[in-house]
Amino acid sequence: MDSLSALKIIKEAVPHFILSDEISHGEAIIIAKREHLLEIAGFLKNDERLSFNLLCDLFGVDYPKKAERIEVIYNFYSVTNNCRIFVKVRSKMDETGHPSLTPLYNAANWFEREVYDMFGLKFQGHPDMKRILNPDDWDGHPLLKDYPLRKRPTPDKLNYDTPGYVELDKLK
Amino acid sequence: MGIEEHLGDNILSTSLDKIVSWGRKWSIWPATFGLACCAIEMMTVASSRYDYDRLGLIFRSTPRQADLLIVSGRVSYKMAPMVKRIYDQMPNPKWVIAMGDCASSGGLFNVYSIVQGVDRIIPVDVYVPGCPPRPEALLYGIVKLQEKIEKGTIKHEQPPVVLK
Repeated sequence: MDSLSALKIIKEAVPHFILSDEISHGEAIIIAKREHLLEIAGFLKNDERLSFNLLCDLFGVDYPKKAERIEVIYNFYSVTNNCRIFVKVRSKMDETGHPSLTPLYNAANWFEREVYDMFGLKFQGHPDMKRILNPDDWDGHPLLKDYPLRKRPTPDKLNYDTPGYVELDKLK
Repeated sequence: MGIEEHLGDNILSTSLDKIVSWGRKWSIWPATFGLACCAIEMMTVASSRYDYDRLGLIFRSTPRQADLLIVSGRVSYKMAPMVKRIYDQMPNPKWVIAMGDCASSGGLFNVYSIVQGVDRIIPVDVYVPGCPPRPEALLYGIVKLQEKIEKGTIKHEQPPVVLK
């Protein structure tokens, strides 16, 4: 099975979950609403014809001029069928209803923490929503387009005794 | 070290300077500590082809037995407190080599997460340029450090703290 026939199956089975779809460089891309994300992912994973059993990657893109400025792109791969599909979901930066895929795919855990670290989008239902790359006491989210390119902490103000230590309860 | 105060400013203390500096020069023990790709070149210097044991350098597995910290790679703000702590744990006298462009000045990582030169958090004695420097370049930096140690004096050094 290739990506195009997988897209055909999805469009026939769950057309109401799909806002639009496109083919780019031979890969199928589905644009979906975030309310339906868990259902789409569940369908992709559990449907016997598709069985997209691997979440390869998950990353964010910032479009600062749009209202829903954070786009999260999910990269599903089917090991049994050797094909790949992309799902794109848009959210506002302070969106609280963007679902976490951790209940379905354990791989989503650290990927979503990275998106939170870099873009500030908090995933609903994530078991451990905190930073993963930057120190916990870091200020801002570096991959946002309006984050200054060379904004750095001053070295003498770093916390040398207890590096990165913050009260995690205070973060939430 | 405390001895030169009893000896006074004379030929004895300058001779003692020479002996102590000579001893230190040929027994620089670096801490086993690598940060990035420069650490691979640093390991190569320790291998049999370049063999810096012949200069008296032996990697020590703890900063408490080390005289030299080779900062081999870019220092991120997340790593900076750990680098500082390793430096603080080393007993005096101690020296630092900033190996490579990143440790010296931030290098090509002119970005939000990298400390722009390790000299912003700890003092540096020798800067070795290169991205990464060839093993010969690091060896040359070590020889330069030896020259610096040779000229050193034990005057004005803090006597070691004796814990009771």
